[in-house]
Amino acid sequence: MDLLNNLIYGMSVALSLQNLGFCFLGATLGTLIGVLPGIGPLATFSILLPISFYLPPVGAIIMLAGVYYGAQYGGSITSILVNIPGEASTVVTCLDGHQMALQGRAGAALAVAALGSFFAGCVVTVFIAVAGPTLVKLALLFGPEEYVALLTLGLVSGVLLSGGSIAKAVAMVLIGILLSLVGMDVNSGVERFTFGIFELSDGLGFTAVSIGLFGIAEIASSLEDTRGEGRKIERIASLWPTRDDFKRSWAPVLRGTALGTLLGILPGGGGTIAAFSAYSLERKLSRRPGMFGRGAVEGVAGPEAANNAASQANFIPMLSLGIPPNALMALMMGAMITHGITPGPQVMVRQPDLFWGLIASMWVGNLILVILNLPLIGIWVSLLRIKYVFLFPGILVLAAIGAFAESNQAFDIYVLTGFAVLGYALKKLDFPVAPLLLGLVLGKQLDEQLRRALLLSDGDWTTFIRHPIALGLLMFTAMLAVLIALPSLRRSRDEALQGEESASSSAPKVPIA
Amino acid sequence: MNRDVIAGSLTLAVGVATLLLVARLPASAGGTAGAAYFPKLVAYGVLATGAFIGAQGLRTPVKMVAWSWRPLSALVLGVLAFGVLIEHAGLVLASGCCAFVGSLAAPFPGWKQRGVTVLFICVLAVVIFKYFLGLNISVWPTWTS
Repeated sequence: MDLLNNLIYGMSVALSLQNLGFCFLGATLGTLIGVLPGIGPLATFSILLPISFYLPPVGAIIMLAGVYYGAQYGGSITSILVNIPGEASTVVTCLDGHQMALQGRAGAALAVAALGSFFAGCVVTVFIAVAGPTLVKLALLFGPEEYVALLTLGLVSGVLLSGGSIAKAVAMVLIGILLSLVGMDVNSGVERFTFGIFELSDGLGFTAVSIGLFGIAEIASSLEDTRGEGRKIERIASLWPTRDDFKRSWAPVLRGTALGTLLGILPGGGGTIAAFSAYSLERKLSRRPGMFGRGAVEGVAGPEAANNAASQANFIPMLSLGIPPNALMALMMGAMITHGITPGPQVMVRQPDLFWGLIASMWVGNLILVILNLPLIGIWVSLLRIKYVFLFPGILVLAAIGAFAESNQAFDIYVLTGFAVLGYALKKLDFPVAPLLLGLVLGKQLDEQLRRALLLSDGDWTTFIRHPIALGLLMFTAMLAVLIALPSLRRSRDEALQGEESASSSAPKVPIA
Repeated sequence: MNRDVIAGSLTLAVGVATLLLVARLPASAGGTAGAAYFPKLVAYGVLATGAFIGAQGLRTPVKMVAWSWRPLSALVLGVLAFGVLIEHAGLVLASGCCAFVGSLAAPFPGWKQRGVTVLFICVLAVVIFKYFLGLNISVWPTWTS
């Protein structure tokens, strides 16, 4: 009965006029991001972050969550209509979704994608409500040893999640950790890496760093690729799927939801991996595998349900353990910290309105998205035709104001430009940037917890082996690390994650042999 | 130029710089790990991965891709202009300059379109940030009041 009471309480928070407004705003902005060319969710999310600082905490988090899953829906629209994934996790949707569009069935593909995602969203919302509190109970047993193990697991899976060279991903995580240590050391009061600059004693401005690394660098490379041109778009005829489409879709949606939820909770599993796994699963189970890649509706239904399920399930480790499973969740965690909320087991106990309100708002947000995406699809299509040259100067100003607004210091703008150049250079050197952000968010915590653990054990490292939960987590981490290093697994990881970094600006290469 | 050798060397440089910077911090504090302990640990990791990346680059050389300077420099200069202007020249001038300099990153259909885009952005910035979000920024230069 507790669950029902909690959900009803959450609904009362989510359905207050103010929060409903924020949810609507977030979902709309998210879809907009997914649809607009040349700027991916990570970039936009970091640019929107400072705006949220001016909103009440619960409303801000509800809005950002709306942006997060709204971008998944928006990403599917561009995948289907123009064969360009707005998001890495919708890369697979291009394969069959765009083929359907070429056959004049864009409307059916969009509807199946939206309804499949909605179903997955509803299921996962209930799942979070059940699984969240259980994990919280477990997390309350955690001491510094367990947290060190958990943070290590989070960082290692950050490497798994990123595409490209593993050594480079490791380097990025480590450099991100070093950057997180800039500022005053809480244990000793000593300043580290501040070069005597007063503004740095509080640490690097999280927003400025992420806007620089993702926002500006991404605008630069997408201008380089497209020179700011618009796109060609397929026509949309009827919006309603046929009876046959429904018959073929319901089972893939169910399987996609289950797979996505499972992969979403595991650290390192995000929407991208879930969508690719669902696609291969559907192709294996299908009685007409030859149709895949030629407009099979199952190839849209399964992956769309899976990526939406996974991206929502990603909230579970973040909310209950305080460990973000990917870079977007790391940004979300950064936003919560700026609002004075420490993500982790305490959130549910101390701020039940936030915890349950957020969960309920996910369901409301998914409903809003179906309304936004089906009847209003025409508006999004016309937005798709806007040339990027008219958009990017506005995005740039938004980024500059955002970085400034966080602390009202011009210094943050200089930090931003420095990281913009760094972000661009890292892209050119083929470093994946997302792991750096994970290191930046988790690094300081790892430092504090590690030293606390060593203090309690008198500098004895075997303390991590003597704590069973920590040992289990570390063994799991080691297993993951070995798996990453295995050549056969590396190949399939590369296939699944290609385009993870540059999905917003480049056309998909057809993966999966 | 070998891309991964550059990548590896830069990573190594970060590791070395870290070790130099923490050299004067206490590694231990009262018998337990001090402020320098963890950064040092991470720096060794950075050095190892840097060496690995560089070695990989020597084994399978990949050429460094060209940078296109125009978009990057226009965007960076635009943001810098904003940073210099915002505290005294006000939101309109700062965002106008930022949008204009930034817009030079890409070829526009014409100067008129560029002007209209910049103007539109200024209006939008004031409406959203000053009136909707209530940011504590002056709209016009402080020297006019």
